[in-house]
Amino acid sequence: MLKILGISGSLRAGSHNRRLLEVAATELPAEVSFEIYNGLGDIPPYLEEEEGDPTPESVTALRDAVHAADAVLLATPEYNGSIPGQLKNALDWASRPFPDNSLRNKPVAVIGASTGLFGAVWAQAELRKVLTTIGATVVDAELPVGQAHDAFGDDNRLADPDLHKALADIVKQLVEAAKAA
Amino acid sequence: MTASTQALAGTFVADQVHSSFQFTVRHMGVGKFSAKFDDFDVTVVGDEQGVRVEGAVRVESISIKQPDFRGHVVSGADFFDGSNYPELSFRSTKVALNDDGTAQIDGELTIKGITKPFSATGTYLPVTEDPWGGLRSGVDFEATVDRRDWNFGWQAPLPKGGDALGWQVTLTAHAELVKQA
Repeated sequence: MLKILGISGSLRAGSHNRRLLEVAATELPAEVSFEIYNGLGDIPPYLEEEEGDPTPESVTALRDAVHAADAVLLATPEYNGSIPGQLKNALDWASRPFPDNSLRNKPVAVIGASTGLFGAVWAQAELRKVLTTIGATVVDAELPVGQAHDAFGDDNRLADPDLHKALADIVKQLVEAAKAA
Repeated sequence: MTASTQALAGTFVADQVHSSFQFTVRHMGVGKFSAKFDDFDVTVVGDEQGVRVEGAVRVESISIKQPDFRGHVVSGADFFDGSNYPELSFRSTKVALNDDGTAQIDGELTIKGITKPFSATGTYLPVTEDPWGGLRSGVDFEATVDRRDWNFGWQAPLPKGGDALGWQVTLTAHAELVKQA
């Protein structure tokens, strides 16, 4: 069974991006399992590991979760036009050791939601750049969900049908990339 | 051929419930964003000198609720700068109500202390008696302006090219005019 890991860049309870991941999960085929990673808040600030230093347990857990997944779907908010520091920090940990890290050649896709008009479009672009640098296989698509407080319908779908279809398309591309990997 | 004086003789004000003043701007190159102002005053006077219109909308009454987004649009110097300029106002210099129901209004639009000539086209409906014995008319106008003319300079390039927010803004006014005793 294919496994997809969801990572939300927001730590907030009731995060729009976590909800976006949950909506994305409804578009997965039955033979694909989906799990949302919950450890982002436990990752310490990045510090290059030196020989003999124990790797923080939370970092090992993140690397293991990424490693065990066939693909990763990241949903990011946008802070000051860019990626939340906590998400970047976690990816910096996940990128080590380079180049044989858990994200290497891993199919990944980026989506995002913000309460402004632009749906974290700049954060998504920067996140794709970071993931490409790390060596992941990045789906070349974006999903800016703006005005996130009004973007979700009651039926676990995005209220805008075109946007929901775009989300389903990205999920489909990610699943295809995972099957091909 | 105009029928200005006959069409709207007397003093009329825009009904607060059945009138709307809205702007629409393209965002992300594909979508459209609209918001309206709920607090406004519009007075129309028709006499032997023709028809004159004066109106104002209050920035604070904009229909954006999310606090960060609202804060930027209402207070941002690159948007409405509402604490310094709490109102947008308009006064007509020429109103043409044509026999075929079309209309043109020329005047001056003042936003953020900047007054510029402004023209809108639309339609009007002749005065009719409402069920409560009052007299009403309806007018619909639309105009497209370049927001830079009123110093709404906010812009950001999209990651994949193009402007985040269109420079052209469509203004639409629907006013249900109620004749004053």
